[in-house]
Amino acid sequence: MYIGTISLCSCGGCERSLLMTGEPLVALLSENNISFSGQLVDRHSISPSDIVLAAGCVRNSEEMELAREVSRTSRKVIAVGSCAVFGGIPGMAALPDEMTQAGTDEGLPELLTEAVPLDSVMDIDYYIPGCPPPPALILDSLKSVLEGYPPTRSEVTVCAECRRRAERGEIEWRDHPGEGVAPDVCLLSGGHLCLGPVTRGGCHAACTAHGSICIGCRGPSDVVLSSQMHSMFSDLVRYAASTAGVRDEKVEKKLQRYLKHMYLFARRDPVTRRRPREKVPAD
Amino acid sequence: MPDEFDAEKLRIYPVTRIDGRADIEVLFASDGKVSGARFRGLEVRGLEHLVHGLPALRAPQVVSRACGACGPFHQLASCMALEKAADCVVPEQAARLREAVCWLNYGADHLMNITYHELPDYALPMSAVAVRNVTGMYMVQQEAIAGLTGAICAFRDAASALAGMPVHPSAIVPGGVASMPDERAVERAVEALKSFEGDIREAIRLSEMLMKRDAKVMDSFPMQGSMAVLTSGGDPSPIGDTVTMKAFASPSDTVEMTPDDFYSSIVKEPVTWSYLVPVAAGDSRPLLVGPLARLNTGFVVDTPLARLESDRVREQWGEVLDRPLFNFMALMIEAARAWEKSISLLSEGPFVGEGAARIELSGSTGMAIVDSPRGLLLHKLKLGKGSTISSYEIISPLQFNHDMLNESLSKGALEAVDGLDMDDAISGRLELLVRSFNPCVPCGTH
Repeated sequence: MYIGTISLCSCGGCERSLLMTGEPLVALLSENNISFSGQLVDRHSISPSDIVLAAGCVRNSEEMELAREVSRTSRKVIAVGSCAVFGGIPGMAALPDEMTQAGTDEGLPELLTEAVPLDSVMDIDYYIPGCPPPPALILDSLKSVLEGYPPTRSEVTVCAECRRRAERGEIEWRDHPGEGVAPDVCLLSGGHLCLGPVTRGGCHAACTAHGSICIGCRGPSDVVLSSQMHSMFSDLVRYAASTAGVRDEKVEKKLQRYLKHMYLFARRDPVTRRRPREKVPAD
Repeated sequence: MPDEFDAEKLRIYPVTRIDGRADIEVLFASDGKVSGARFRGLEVRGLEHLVHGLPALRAPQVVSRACGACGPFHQLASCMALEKAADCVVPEQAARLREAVCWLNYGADHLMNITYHELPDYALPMSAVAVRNVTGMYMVQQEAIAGLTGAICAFRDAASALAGMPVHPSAIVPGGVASMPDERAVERAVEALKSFEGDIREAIRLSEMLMKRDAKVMDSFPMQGSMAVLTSGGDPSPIGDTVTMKAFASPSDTVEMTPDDFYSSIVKEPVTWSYLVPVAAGDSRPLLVGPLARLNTGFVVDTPLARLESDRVREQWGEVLDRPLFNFMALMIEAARAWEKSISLLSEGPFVGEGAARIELSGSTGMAIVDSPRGLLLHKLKLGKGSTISSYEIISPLQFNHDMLNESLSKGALEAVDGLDMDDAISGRLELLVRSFNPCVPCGTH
């Protein structure tokens, strides 16, 4: 099999996460062939591949061309990481005109106003969200696809994987991402805006296990995606209100301040943007 | 490099075995001779713009995504800038944990660069493109690659046990750390690290042997200009309090300054041909930051293996290691130092007490510098209404190294390129020079 990797608009963390798997990856690639990979081999062009791991979203004209070329020449494409799947952090906001309209006269790629997820410009077969996805998750997914099976898809939320216990009672909201909460107490109950209840699991709740909030890097959970009645914001408000024993409106008012923070990764996700009740921050 | 190029260009695109997407342009003067070469960052995300309006205490988790290679250092620098703005003192044990996490990430990052990016150039210099990579190495040196990747995994596992996800560790928060690891987690981390002592020593011997065998190293051009590192008590440290600078030409004359003075001396010099904004610090041009600059500064204390190896390297190649290709050896020695430092910090006893100090944002600005695996990294933020971010500035290692890299690349191109034919050997040689500066393009252009 020919395997390729490509990183478009991203921090490079997804490729790093893959490389961190170490010898099992090197052995797997040695048994197959690397068709192209900016991190691994000296090939300067995209070549036909059986499987391509594509990280990053599309933010400029060069990335758009690369994405389309990968789409034309590959049998299966796996979108790796939340930038590829949802648009990720680069999709948090539109860039100002002075950035998008400058510096293209010397052959630099032209910047697009908005970053877009990969499936807006090419066909994607499988999705592995995360910022970055855990190393083993990427490698296991690659192995599954090599064997002809779809990768395992986590259907639970981060909360379901977290060992902390929710406590009932009024919540005093804090900006801080994690301090002063006992190791077995739910961070949300402790006043930290943890997105665990509305975020897809599969990360073994690595952040909350170390006392820090979930920032939603694996994107909306299946429940949030399941119907027009749900959204990350409204579901979290409902959950927090029921835990605190107060009306939804009271919590909603308090959490407006964090609206942008709730969509750090999924703001450009077309499904999220189609939600009629969704409260996605304006640019 | 001349300012204007009006003739043809040759392009090497993309530069491979680096982090991010970039190209090299070789430029010709009107008489058809090579006039210079330049490394161009082709991507930008606008991270400094994206964080506007976020609650300031939430910014570190976002700006850590500036870079997949040194994300923990972006997160740390951002937290430290906030702590500066709040005049907050991090609890001692939390500071120790943060430093240990820094060293673990140094180790992982350096070994990944060695294994996946640089080693094939030295171990398989004459091989075909299809073979000159980690899988080609695995065919002929399976044990060595297994040892190196095993060490990467051990650094990764130790960092994960202490701070969460390995690439963007969530445990580093404003005021300290979100939680203290229990004794078992620390024991597991130390055990994992100690398990690859033999691999580290063998990897150093392998690197030394490859450097000795490779004539390119001493044939390459010496660098001119200055080096800058962050030090603590004269010793290079990721979380130091002094910026130490010295010139390649007179290494015994050092200039020390506070991070604030260093920041004040920084001048941004944007170019229209790259998304990367080069910076200069004062009169020290060009500037080198990163592993080779730190190795040239010298290790003062408590890492006997790294100290011994750096002395051996100097005995062989001279007191000042001024060729870019020495970076390969610098990465290896510093990986050994990271291994020693992290074991030493984790063996100091259990992590007890408060993880994070209470942080009340009172000041309107904060700035911090850390020395990341790739070199000096600076974060500066301004607070607006309701303690939200009103402006954010990141200056990353590649921005400092940009001019030094392009100067070396130009010299390399003048020597190697003849006419408009660009074969694999020439492009490979120029790309090798680029790799010697550990460029991280996503971090550089953010």
